[in-house]
Amino acid sequence: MAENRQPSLDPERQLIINSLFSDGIEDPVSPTHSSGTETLITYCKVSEDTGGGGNSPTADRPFGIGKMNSRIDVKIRYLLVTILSKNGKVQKVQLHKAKKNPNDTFSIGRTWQLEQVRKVESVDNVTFVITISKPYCWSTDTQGEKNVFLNQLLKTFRKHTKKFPKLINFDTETLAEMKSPSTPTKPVIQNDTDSYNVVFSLQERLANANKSSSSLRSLNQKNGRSTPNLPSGAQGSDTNSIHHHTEDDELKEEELSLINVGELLNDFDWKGSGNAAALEERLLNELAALEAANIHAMVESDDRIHSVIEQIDNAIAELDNMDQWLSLYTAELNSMGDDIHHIESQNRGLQVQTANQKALLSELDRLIQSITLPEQVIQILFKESMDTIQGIQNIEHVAAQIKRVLETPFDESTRQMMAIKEKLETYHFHCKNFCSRFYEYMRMMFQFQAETLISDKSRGPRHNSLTIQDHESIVENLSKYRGLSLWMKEMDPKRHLEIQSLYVISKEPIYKKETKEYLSQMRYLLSKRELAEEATYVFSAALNQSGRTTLTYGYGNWLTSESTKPPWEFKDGGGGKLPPEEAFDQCLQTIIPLVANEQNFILDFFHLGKKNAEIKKEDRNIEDIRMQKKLIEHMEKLFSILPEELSSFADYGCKHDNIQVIGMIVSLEKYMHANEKIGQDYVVTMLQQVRLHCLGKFEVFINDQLKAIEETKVTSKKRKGIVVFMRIFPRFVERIEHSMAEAEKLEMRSIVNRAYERIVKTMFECVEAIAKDADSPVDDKEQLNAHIMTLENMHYFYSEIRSRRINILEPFMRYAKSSYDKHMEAYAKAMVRRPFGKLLEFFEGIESLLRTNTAPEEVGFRIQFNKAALKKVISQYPGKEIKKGLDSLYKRVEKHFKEEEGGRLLQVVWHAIEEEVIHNHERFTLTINRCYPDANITLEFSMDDLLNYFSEIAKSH
Amino acid sequence: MVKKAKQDLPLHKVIMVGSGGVGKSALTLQYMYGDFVEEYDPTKADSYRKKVSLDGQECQIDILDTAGQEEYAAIRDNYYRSGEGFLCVFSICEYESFVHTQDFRDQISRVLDDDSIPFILVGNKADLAKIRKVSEEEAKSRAREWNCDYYETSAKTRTNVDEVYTELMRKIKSRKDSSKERENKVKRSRCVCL
Ligand SMILES: Nc1nc2c(ncn2[C@@H]2O[C@H](COP(=O)(O)OP(=O)(O)O)[C@@H](O)[C@H]2O)c(=O)[nH]1
Ligand SMILES: [Mg+2]
Repeated sequence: MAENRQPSLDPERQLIINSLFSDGIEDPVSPTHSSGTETLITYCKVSEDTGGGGNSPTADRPFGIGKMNSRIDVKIRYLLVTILSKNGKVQKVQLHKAKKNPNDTFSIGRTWQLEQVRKVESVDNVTFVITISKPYCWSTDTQGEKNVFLNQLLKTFRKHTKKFPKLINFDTETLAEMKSPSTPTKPVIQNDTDSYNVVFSLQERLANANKSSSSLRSLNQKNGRSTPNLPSGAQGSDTNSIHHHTEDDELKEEELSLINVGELLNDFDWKGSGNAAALEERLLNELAALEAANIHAMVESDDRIHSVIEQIDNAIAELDNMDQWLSLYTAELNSMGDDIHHIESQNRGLQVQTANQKALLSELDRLIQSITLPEQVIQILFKESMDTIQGIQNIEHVAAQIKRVLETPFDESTRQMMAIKEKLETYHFHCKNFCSRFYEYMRMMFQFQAETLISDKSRGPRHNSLTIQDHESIVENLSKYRGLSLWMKEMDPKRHLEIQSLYVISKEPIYKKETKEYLSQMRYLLSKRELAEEATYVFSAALNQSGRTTLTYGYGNWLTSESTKPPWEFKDGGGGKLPPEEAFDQCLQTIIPLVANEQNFILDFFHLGKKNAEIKKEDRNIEDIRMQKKLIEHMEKLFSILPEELSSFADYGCKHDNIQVIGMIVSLEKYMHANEKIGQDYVVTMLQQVRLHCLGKFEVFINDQLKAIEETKVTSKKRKGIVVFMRIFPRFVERIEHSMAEAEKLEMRSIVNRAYERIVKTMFECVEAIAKDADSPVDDKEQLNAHIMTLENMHYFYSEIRSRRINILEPFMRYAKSSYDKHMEAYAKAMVRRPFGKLLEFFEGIESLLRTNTAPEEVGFRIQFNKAALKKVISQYPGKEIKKGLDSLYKRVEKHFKEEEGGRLLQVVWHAIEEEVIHNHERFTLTINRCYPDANITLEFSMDDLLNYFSEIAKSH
Repeated sequence: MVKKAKQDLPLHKVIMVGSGGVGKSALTLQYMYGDFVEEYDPTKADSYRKKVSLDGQECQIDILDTAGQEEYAAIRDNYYRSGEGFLCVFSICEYESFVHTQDFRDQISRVLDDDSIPFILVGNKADLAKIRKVSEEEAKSRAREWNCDYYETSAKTRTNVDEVYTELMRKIKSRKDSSKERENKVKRSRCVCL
């Protein structure tokens, strides 16, 4: 019944055979000629109970325990029953215990001869114990597997061994079978040839097998017939056994039974291709009917039972034989299947190989085809004219073909092929030759273009339109070679570089000549200004002048009168002449597009721009940087004289008026900014060079201004009114702001702001230096002068700068205002000392006494401050005296301030003095009331008197 | 190096009068510098000067911005003496400042002893008309009484700012011109006498 595991559906079996018994496959067709073939009869996957291996398992062992144990210490093993046969004769029957390896191979752990098995005990549905040298307890996964295996095992016993193991817990039929193992089938079949008998015997056999398997399944149905089997020696004397078989006999028998089976199947209408299931169905039906009939017959005719049993036994033996053969054939067929498979796959491999070789051949053909160019291509490359567009196009076309061939991505081995190598070498050679041709041609072309341009009489600066004409003609003439230039760049980069240099060398003199001419013509356009005019807004010039003239008020006058004119207006304005800063801007406007166009052309013509190719990013960057460097290098060579020329033009423009440099820097920054945005790197670098030069000039200019300011003699010995530099400063700022009109966002803005700050700081330092030690309120001429000058100058600065609204100067403006206030106060305090001298001293004395914690009442007890002293000092200042004092005070103030700016501050200052006087009166009165409350003494002039004096003074002037 | 002196440009001296806080400084700064200061700094008087073009002629204006809240009015006398024209400012939102204009007017007349001095009554803060306390009518009738012009201005919005200064300068100028003529006539007549 092992055949219900069909070998083809049982991969495990195949694996076992492949791994352990495959030497039988080597010669699958005739196993009988093999020297020793081991054939697998059956196998069984079991779990070996190692834990309980030593103990003999008992039948009443609880069902679950075995399972539980098996989970803990169970080894999965395979029991293999094999027949070792030689020359078709069975040599040995063996039981192997094997282990499955992870790689699906098997290795045998132990091997026993089947004869060694002493006892086979069925324990429960899945467990059985085989006792050899000791009992081994094994369990299968399913009951079916166990039954099949044991059945198979017992059959093998029956068939091949002389010794029988003891069977425990097997049903009667099994045991009975064991006792009469090999009933000869021959006589039965020969004697009863009628179909009924055959059918009957077969039916009986099937029924029997059915019974034995069902009995194995139902273990609890065991009867007491588990009596020990007879020892193997007793088998011969068994009453039921007819022959003691020899092996030859057995073979014959098997052959016979095979024939019988053939007949049998014929009877059942069963062909090889017939429906097995239908056959089975039919057989089973028959079986059931027969079973019933059988039992009936057994019961009814007890006397015939012996013959029936005999028949049955025969049939069983036959079937077993068939079974054996079938399993052998199966094994054979399996191994043949493998061979066929192997041959098939080999066959397929061969087909693929053939196809590949075919493909290779055609591929090679195609390759050679693809890299072969017609001879005419080479002709075009060397003969075609480069003067016409058509000619150039033809050349470009074939050049592209060559390039394509040369750049075909052969792998290294292909490249090494002689045929290809040679072809490529020829093409390389032609390429090189063409590169030389192109190089020569371009050299002549450049030279020719340059010469044409230079000798073009229509070019060059003309009187009324000063400019440099563009080089459009060259660009136009050369542009058609752009494609070949790219080709060359890729095919022969070194030569391409040489062409670039040729170009630069041929054009450089043109630019040199043209810019030089242009700039020198521009010089004539510059308007010049007279120094005197400049002096009104530049410290250095103005102060130099003032050094030569004696300082009179008149000098201040010319200065202010000039200022009615904006400081940037030129005397010779108009007439086509330009202020240098504007001329400079115009130069830049003319030259920059020229440079930019040239950069664009070089970039385009020589393909030095950025590549968007799919090269790796970092590689591309390196390449881009290299191109960029090359480009700048060319530009630097082409315009090598430019930075210097522009700088010297700037110098020239500033010769008479350094302040022009500011407007120039603004222009430079403006253009730098604009060109930075459009990637005109060289323009930016070049302008930056000029800018640095100009910034240097600016720095010198500012330093000159600072020096001039510092060197101005500001002295308090003599009042000079508004200091020259203070007067210049607003116009200086105004002038600079004129140039800064477009500079709000440029760097120059902050540079100029810083310069303003430095200048203002220096000016303030100079002005305040004289007033430094003039803080004490003493009526000292020099100190008064210091106050007057400081407050006048600060006021001037404040009001002038405020009206010009320059944010950066805001803090200085506020500073000037507070300085003005401070000096105004100090001046007023100092001035009132004269008319009130002794009174002030007296009351200040009292005040300082009061500050030293003297009580007001105690003041009168001091000799110098007693009533008498008070009366005395008061009597010295009668109203008449005060009036006179104030009159002369007014005259002095008037003298101090009338001179400056039409006396604009006089009223304000006098007002401050009035308030100071009134304040003093209030102060004195308060002190008298505090310190001499009962003395009934008052000043000899009342507040009303004072106000009257002021009114009179006001009226009289 | 002899150039025309700056002094030769005609210089017109304007004096701002009025109570504290009415906007004298604000008007002055708006006129001078074109900006408006929100904060109130009542402290100091100040003098400003600016070159302007009056009806096509270059001249200078000198503005004396007074504090206006001195304890003793008399100390302002010297200001008034130096003035050639007056802007007498009050705030239309503050009636008291309007009342005070009378005091300033009186003081000026007294100090200068001259009723025909160029003088404009200015009602400032016109942008705050919503909270007006002095009606235009009342202000105008006072101006009529004083025989002077009345303007409403706003230092904040610059309404009428240039106008009041320009108008005042015109008055000053025409007055100067006529007095010069008179002088000339006198001189000439003298010559004849001689
Ligand atoms: N809304 C408005 N406020 C003003 C105007 N003029 C001045 N002010 C405000 O009034 C306050 C006093 O101004 P200020 O000019 O200092 O007055 P002064 O004392 O007369 O000089 C300040 O806070 C100004 O901002 C104006 O026309 N409109
Ligand atoms: Mg004020």
